[in-house]
Amino acid sequence: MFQATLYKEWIKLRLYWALLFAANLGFAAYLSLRLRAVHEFNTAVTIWGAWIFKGYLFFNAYHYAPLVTGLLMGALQFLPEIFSKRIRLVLHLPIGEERVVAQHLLAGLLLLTLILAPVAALFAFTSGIYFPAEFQQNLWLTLSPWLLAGYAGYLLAATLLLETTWRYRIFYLLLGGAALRLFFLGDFYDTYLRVLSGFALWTVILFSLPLFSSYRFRKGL
Amino acid sequence: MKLIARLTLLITGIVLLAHYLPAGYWLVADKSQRAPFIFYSCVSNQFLFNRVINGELSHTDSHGKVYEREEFESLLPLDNYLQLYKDRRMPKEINGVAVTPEKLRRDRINLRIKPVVLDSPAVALYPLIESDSGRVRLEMPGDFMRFGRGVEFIDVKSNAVIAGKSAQFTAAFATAKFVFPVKLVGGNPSTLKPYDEGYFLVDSQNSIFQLRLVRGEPELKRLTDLVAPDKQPLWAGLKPLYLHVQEQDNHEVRFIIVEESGRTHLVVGADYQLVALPLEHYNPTTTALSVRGDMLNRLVAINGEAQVEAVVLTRDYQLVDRYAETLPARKDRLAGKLAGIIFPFTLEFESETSGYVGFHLDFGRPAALWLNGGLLAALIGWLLVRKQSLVHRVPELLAVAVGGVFGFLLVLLMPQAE
Repeated sequence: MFQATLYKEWIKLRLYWALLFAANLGFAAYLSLRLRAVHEFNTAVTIWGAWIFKGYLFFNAYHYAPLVTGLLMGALQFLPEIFSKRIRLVLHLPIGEERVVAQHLLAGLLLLTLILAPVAALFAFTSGIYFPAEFQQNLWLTLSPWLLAGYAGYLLAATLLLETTWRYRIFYLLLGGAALRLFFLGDFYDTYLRVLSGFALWTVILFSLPLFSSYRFRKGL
Repeated sequence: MKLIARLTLLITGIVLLAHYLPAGYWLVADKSQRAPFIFYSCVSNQFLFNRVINGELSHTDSHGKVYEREEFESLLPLDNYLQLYKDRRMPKEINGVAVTPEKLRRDRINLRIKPVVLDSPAVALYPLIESDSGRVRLEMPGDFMRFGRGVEFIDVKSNAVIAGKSAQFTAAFATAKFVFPVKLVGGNPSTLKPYDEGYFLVDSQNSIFQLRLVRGEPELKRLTDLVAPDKQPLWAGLKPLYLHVQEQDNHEVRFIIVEESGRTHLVVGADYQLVALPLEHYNPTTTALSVRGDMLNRLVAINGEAQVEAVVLTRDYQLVDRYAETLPARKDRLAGKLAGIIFPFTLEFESETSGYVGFHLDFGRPAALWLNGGLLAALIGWLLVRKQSLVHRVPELLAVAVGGVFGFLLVLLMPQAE
């Protein structure tokens, strides 16, 4: 059944997905080439110094991109369902509303991962050429909150769109904005080391919110 | 799933409100309070202060006497010599010591340790600067040093380990009986300094070593082997938490050892004399330490949110005088007391004393519990009037009992399951 939902969502989203994929990978490729150019025009010592002493990781320009991608993904996936009221049909499928919404979310998260994972891999590969193993830990610890913000943004967008009343949509907007700001409190390397597991756990339990919205939708609350 | 969603909303909401509401409150209620900047006058032999009172800078002594700027500068000739020379007011000698601009400049020292450097992310790769290159300026090397079970040098251009230099240094460490792994590294990886001390390293046996690169050769010395025999037990008993290196023109303070207990020592001179700082209120994780020196005295001062302290030492590090002052902490002021009652707890993610994002939880006053109880009673009363089941509202009731004002606001605002 999940394959069927995934296929349906893929048909719906493939054009947008391809655009988002190209935009993200293009941005990442640009930053990778820029690192190469920086390496060409500066001494290696200067670049290592900028990394080690100033916390400059060369990919910082990408930090909001996963969040924007996640929000767009959520909007593109659920806006059509809401506008054309197709979501009602989905919720009346004989597999239970919780399950079918969960399948839609998993499909969206999978498509999001297929955009973000190649970007992260490209960053790891490029930096591996110019920097030693220590850089990889810094890179992953710095990248993780940005990627988590992408997933959290997607789930919050779904929650907001599946919610029926404007009052609570505003509530989710404020809650989401206040929470997502905390994923961007500084881009010096390793700053999120001590809170990363907490932030990751929060992102996981966010999965329950779109389901709650759809429950309220079906109940007509 | 409904229950998990409600709990997610309640916990998220309380965490966010506990962060943003107090932040908003302090944005309005906070007043600037700057700790006094402390000087020691070699003319009148007393502590002097720059204080900001109601936004105005004033120059005072410890009795509260206020000085005009010119008079204040004359009392601190070693701090204001540029101005005094310009005004032709600079004395030719002070306390019997002849004064020249060159001597004044050379004898000034200034070292600072902020708590944030003890708790910040850092990459464990170190440039080992050639300390005797024959050049006027220090130069960054083309490789970085890494410690593991031995020493490795990584060439920055090729991003590969330099086998020869690594083996040479690992052998030098073995000869010096250095026991890996390295516990602590203290250094000043900058070329903008008068000379290079290299790195001070603590090995797994708690021995402190100094590593320098001298004309291409490693120079590794165990400091206990260099100090006088009667001082060796002192060195052996050290439990260093942080080693601060900040090379000064006069080569006097080699480095500073901050111990886990907060006890702090200057290591002074060519024979690595250990000078324990006679401070009573220094907490390296929350207070900043500064060591300022001139041709006559050494002034060691600490600066915390609620405490300043200073001691004056002679050039031979004998105690001359001390001063301490308690400042009203933010939470003991009226606005702070009020905040402690309204907010049962406050959550901060960033801290001035740490380079990491963390969960810094600060509890309010006991009176906040009464407010929590009152809000809980109000919610129960409201639910009973509306003839709603209390059993179905246990998560919300718990949120108000624990989160007080945050929980109550949330229950009013968040979407319901019924």
